[in-house]
Parts: sequence; C-alpha cells; structure tokens
Amino acid sequence: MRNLVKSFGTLILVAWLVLFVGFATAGGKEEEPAPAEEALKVVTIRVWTIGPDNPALGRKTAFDEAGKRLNKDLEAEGSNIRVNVEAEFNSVNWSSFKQRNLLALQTGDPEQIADIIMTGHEMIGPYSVAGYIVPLDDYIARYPEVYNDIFPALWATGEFKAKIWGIPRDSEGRLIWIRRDVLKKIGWTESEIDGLRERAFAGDFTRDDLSDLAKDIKDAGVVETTMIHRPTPGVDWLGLIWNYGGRLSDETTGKLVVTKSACLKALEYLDKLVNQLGVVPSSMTNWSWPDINGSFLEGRAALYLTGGVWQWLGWQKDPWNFTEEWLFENITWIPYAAAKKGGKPLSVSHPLTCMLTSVSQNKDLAFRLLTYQYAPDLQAESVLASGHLAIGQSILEYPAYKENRYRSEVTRLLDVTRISPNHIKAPFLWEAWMDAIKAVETGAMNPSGALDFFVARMQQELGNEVIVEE
Amino acid sequence: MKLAAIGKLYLFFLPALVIILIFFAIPAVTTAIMGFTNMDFQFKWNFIGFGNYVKMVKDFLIWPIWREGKLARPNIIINTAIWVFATLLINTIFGLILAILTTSIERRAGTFFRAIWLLPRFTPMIVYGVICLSLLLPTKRGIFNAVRGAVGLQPLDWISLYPMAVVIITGGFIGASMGMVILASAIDSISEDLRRAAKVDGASWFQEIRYIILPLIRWPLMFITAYQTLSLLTSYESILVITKGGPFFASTNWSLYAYKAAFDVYSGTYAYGYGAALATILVIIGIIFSIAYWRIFKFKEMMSEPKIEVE
Repeated sequence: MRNLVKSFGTLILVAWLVLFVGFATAGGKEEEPAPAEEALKVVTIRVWTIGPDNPALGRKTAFDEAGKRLNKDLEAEGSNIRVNVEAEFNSVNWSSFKQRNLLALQTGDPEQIADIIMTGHEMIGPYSVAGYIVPLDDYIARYPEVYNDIFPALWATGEFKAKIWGIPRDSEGRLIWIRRDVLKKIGWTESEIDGLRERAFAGDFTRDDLSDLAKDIKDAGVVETTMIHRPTPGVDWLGLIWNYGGRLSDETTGKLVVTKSACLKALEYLDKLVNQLGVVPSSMTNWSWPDINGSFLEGRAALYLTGGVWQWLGWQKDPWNFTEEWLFENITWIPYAAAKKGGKPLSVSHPLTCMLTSVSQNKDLAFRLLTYQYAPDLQAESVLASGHLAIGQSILEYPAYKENRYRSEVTRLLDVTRISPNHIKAPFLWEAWMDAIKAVETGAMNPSGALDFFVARMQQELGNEVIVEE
Repeated sequence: MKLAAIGKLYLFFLPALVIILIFFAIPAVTTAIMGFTNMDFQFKWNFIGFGNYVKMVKDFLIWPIWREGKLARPNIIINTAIWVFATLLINTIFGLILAILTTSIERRAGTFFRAIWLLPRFTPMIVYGVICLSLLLPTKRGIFNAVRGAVGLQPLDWISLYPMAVVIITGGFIGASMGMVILASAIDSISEDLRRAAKVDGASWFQEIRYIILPLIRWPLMFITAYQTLSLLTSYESILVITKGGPFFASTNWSLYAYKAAFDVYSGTYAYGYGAALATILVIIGIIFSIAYWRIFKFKEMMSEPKIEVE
C-alpha cells in the first residue's frame, strides 16, 4: 500500500512539473532581452494647479493626459525618456495655495518645487523679480503652431518688463448676474429681460440704470436682499475703476497708477448702493460664500454685482445641483454696465498663467509637456467642465465648445475684457482697494475719506512705484 | 549653596532652558535681527538699518488721529490698549467669580462646572472661531439673528457693529478659564480652619470672600493679571478667525497687524522685515510690563524664603 501511495505521489509530482514547465514556456515568441544601453529613463515632472472650485479639476487632468500623449510621441521618436507627471490640484483656497508655493519656492530645492506652476497672473511680478520663474519667449518660439493660436489680448497676463513669463490658461469673464424671475415680478416682460444684455453691450444700460433697477426691486419688496457681491479682494473691484475712466498702470514706466477721480466715483457708487439706496447690506463684506451663493440661487437676492462665468458650472454641481435648463430659465447676465450712456461696458478677466520654475531640472521636457497640455481638445474639455472661456481660436472652434449655448454667449465678454496689470506690488493694490471699499460700505469712512486712505496706503507701501493722478 | 547642589538645580532646569532657548530666545533674536531688513517674498537679508522703525513712525494706521473729539479712523495703538485691558478685566474678574462660585458649591458639582468652562480653552481656536462665526452670521442663518427673527427683530451685523466687543467677549470666555483654575486651586488650599473660624465669628459668605479669601489669594491673582497682560499683548488668533481684524481695521491689534504684515496679505506678498520689526516692539513692551509688574506686585517678596519656619 505504501509503495502504491509513493508511486502515485511521484506520478502527480512529475505531471505537475511537466504542466508547470509547459505553461511557463508557452505562448508568444521568445523575446530578445533589451540591451542595457536602451533602459528607460523616467523623468518626473511636477505640476501645481488650483481650482479651488472642484469643476476646474481639468487643469490637473489635462496634464495627466498630456503626459500620456508625450510618452507615446517619445516612444515613437525612439527616445528612452519617459515622463512621469505628478500634477497636484488645490481645492482649498487661493491663500493657502499661494502661501505654500511661496514657502516652497524660497527653499530653492528642486525636490520641493514643481517644474510648472499654474497660478494667478498677479504673481508674475513678484515671482519674476525674485528669480523663481524663467522667461518663456524662447520656449514659446519653438511651438508657433500652438502659441500663435492664443488670443493676442490675453498675452498681457503673462508679460512683465518686456518679457513673457507665463502662458495664459483658462480665461474667464466677470459679469453681473440677474434673476429673471425677480424682474418678472416687478413687471418686466420676457423681451425686455432678453434685451437687457444687448442694451448693456450697447452702452444703453448704465451703472445708474442698474442702481435704479435695484431700487425698484427693493421698493417692490419681492426679495430679502436686493444686491450682493463678493466679500473679498479681486479683479472685479478693479473693474469699477476702469468703469469710471481710471487707469491702473502706466504703459511707459510700468508703475501702478491711482486715478483719484475714477476711484472716488467708484467709491461714491458703492456708497450710493449701500448707504443711500440700501440695496446692498452694509454687512456684505462679512458674508460667507455659501450665504452669498445661497441667497442668489434660492431667490433671496436679485442682483449679483460681481459674478464670474465659471459659477454657471459650479451651480450645476455639489452642493447646488441646479440643472442648466433651470439656470437659463431663471438667471441672465450682463457685462459690467457702462458708467454713462453711450459708454463702453466692460468685463475683467483673471486668467491663470502657467510658469516654468527656475529650479526645474528638466525645463525643455517640462515645457514640452506644458505645450501638449495646450492641445485644443484638452483645453476645450477642461474649460467646458469648469465654466471658463477659450483662450484660443482652435478651442472656440472645437465642436463641443461651439455647440455649447452658454459658452457661445459668454465668450462675447472677451471682446470687452480688461486684465489687471502685472507688477511686483499688484497684489497689494487688490488688498488696499478692497480696504477702501470696506471702509465705505461699513460706514467707517465717507468716499473721500476712504479715497485719501487708499492713496495714503498705496504711497506708503509703493513709494515712487505708484503714480497718483487726478 | 554647594556647587553640586547648584549643578543639580541647573540640571533640573536644563530641559526647560533648552526649550525656552530653541522656541523663544533664538526666534526672538532672529526676529529682532530680521526687523532690520526689508525681507519679503524674496527672502533676502537686505539690511536697511532702522528703516522699518522709521516706516512705523510714519505708518498712519498705527498712530491715533483725533478730529472733533473722536478718532478719525481705526487705530492700532488704541485697539491694542482696549483689547488688552478690557479682556484682562473679564479674564481676571470673571475668572475670580467662577473660582469663588465653583468652590462654594458641592465639590463634585464645582469640578463639573469648572470642566465645562475649560472646554473653550481645550477646543482648537479654529473650531471655537467657527462656532462663534455661526453664532454671529449677519444673515438670518446666524444663531443670534435666528433668535432675533423669532421675536420679530431684524438681523444684526454683529461683527460690523461691535467688532471689539465681539473679540473681547470671546477672548474673555477663553481666558477666564485659566484664572478660574488657578484661583480655584488657591481657594481650595486655604485652610478650612480659617473659614470655619470666620463662620463662627458670624461672617457672611460675602464677608468671607472679602476678608479671608481675597487677601489670601492675592499672589495668584496678581500672577494671573501679569500673565494675562503679557499673553493678551501677543495674542491675535481669536481676532483673526472671528473678525479678521475688521471691519476696516476696527479690531486689529498690534500683534495681528504684525502677523498680517508678514503673512496674511490676501494675494500672497509678505513683508517679513516690517512684520518682524512690529513684533520686536511687542517684545520690548512685554519686557517693560514684566519689569513693572515685578516691582508693583512685589513678586520678589512672593518668591523669597518664608519668614516662618514650619516644622
């Protein structure tokens, strides 16, 4: 019996070995071993991007996809280099993103700093002066077919001291949102509501018409809060200065400019809205973002003075989840109305820009990756998802973009868009101007007192880098 | 004392000394040196002498300007003085009241209430701040305004209308707990014989507090006053979270102004040198207050050898 078990066991073992060897060597032809000198070299390219709104995730995923396409082309070229893209996406807020970037940049350690940073163009001035980023003129010249497609007006976002430091990404436009249903409640017809945008673009509907409309809404008592706006600094507020004929920078010297008369008119306008007509609450600068968006979307506020095109997509996602049909039915928009009849309306854009860091050990490869990320389909899909606008003609003509009703309407804002100047102290301008606005809205100062305060702060901080004109 | 005994003494102090050196002394010296530079986002040590201090003298946000009998605009120095002394008053007096009350009731109940009052101190400031913000929201969603709405009143913008009061009261709620704990321990350590003797002599509860408890806890009371003054001079976290120093600098104190100069500019440029100079001034003021309190409250006497030997 024992011998039988032993023999049977041996038979099973031999059979198993035969089968194992057979499977191991089966299938496919024998591959030739790779020669040692063709071993792949993987280069990690780090990218920092930001929303912070979640729909803007395409800013990161475009780089992921670009990495795959680049690797395919590298393989086709016979190169042994492959890229490993590590793209981060900040969905918290701008302050934390900028602070983290700055603290990492100051280390000068390539291991801690991304190769490519996508951030607000107002950082071009500080970053270039500090030597954190490199000029891109020569890199851009290598890919004319890609970069000549970008709208010429948008290149201003990346220019500083006669060089290009950043490539625009995700243009957008600021506008004034209006509740259609509220206009109907105060007696407006559908055709009047539909015609409002044309009137604004033609300069027929002015800032004063807007404040009159706000007063009518308030007097009708149909909403809890007539008009709302953002509580934080932003390019929207600079738009008010342009609205009233002011300028923000001097083309010859590159210095920042304070045009006192325009600033005063802007502050007087806000004073009228808050303290005279009472259509904007004096507590507005203390409201939270959920309160602001919630008030408008839930119909408790009628006019959103400082809206942005990307909000349309954000309102269709969590936590709001409105349908696009509902939005078209209940909300319309106009550009920033002209200051006087016949004047020009305007919008303000705050495109992000993509910069190449000076410590990057693989600048050529990183820039090539950046260029792949500018493929029309990647750009179009990204801006369609995030609610931003095309930066180039090929994206405008991308079928999905062209057929998108909302996008085709708001792209018109690019015709009247202005861009805030790049300067080493440009961020301070935003902050100081917002402080003046807060002073007026909270009643701490009257408009002329707030203007004096703004001018004094700008002069104290900038010295001879600011021109104060009447 | 023998050398060996002194050596052992220093050995005991060594861990604390090392911590103080690393986390206080070296940063203080570095900050003071940084105050002589114009260091910003470029992180370069460009020495500019007293340039930042000259800027401070010319900084119109710092110095009060009076017009027609009232302040022309919010002002850092006045805000700091109000913040420190008003909050100190609440911290000390309210802490004393809590200590007396919680030691006058049944022991376990007293411990329970002291534990509740300690919660704000144990809660991370950001959590505490968010709770305060939800209480103070200017819309009907704010809890205080919801209560007002329930009785037919309009919502109030608490932060815009009463920014200093808001931060002083919230700071007082946190600070009172420290005074409560220290003073409650001091009250508990008073000999029961003294209190019984007072009762036998016909002293009321209030007289017991006035003639027995207060005199015997004067050292801890003075310590709390001195400690809280220095702590309030340099604290800004609750203000940053709740009012952010606003509206329009109405609740910005010196330490918050220094913090904002260095770190909190919205769009991310950093005046580290100027912020450091502002912080250095606080250190100097703190040293002056420490010396003043040491002399006025006679802390040397408190620290000296007891006059009676008890065996």
